[in-house]
Amino acid sequence: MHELSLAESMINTALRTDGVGADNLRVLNIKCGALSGVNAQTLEFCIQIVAERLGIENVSVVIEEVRPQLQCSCGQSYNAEDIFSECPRCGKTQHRITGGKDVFLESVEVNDGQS
Amino acid sequence: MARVNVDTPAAGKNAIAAEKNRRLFRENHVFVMNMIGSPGCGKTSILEYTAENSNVRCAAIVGDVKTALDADRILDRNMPAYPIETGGGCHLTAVQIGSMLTRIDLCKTDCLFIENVGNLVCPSVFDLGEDIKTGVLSVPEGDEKVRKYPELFSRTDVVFINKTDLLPHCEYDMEKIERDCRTARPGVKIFKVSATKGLGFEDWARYLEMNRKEQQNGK
Repeated sequence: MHELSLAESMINTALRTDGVGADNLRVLNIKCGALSGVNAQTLEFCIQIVAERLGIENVSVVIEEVRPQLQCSCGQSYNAEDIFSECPRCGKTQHRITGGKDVFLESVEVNDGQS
Repeated sequence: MARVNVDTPAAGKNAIAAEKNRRLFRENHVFVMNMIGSPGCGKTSILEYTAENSNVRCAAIVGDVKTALDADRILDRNMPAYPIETGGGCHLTAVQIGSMLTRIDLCKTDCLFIENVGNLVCPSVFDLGEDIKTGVLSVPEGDEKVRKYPELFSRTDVVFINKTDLLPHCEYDMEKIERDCRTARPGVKIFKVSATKGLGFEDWARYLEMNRKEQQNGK
């Protein structure tokens, strides 16, 4: 369950950001690559556990799953279902992976007293 | 509600520890391989063979959920080996590796193997500060492992396919798995070996020797 340590890290990162505190943190916007080895549902579950433990109430987690981004040897760049997909232009599987391996906290939303 | 941009990778504490380890390895010119494979695929057997047959100055950190049995096997073949018992943890972390490094004489080590806990999922996510991730497969596991675990094999610069002596007894499409390895990671080096029979290690010996020379030139 490696998602738990990532969840702790993300909450800590959020709380270290200027203007963000346990009292006003409401939403974490996360991008989760399909090749990251991280399960989005498990990550969300873990973030809720960590938030609860730190007394952060009513936090929402929005996870955008990012498909693998491939660049074929023919020059075509494309998003694929998986890394064994054929290039839509030349039909080969000779590509390098240019995206979809990372998980990162993109932004947070805080309650600033306005709706 | 106000939105605040953060744009920070999730890895956090582990990433900081991994960079610290990496700096230490570079300063001491140690080539580091993080070996990842299923339980029973032969990670330890490959290190045993290497210990007995290579002149490269190697050491190993060996992760297991319980016991130091694998580290003892390597130690018995005169390679310094340091066990980490994770007590249930399904992967090693950069922090665990960092605390072990104080015990290892890095000045006298050209190549450090980190034998991760037997698992194809979690270890692929955690950077330990290594130069390369090494996947270890074995013939009886079947030829679909690369397709089933693309997160790992999109990160492995070296792949061992072990237990090749069992090929006559298994339905195993070697061409297919090699093709999958290269699709997942272009430029990957593949070593087809039988660790217990000592077969197919010529290319591996050359690879290790090449890295030894590179490291020694820097010492």
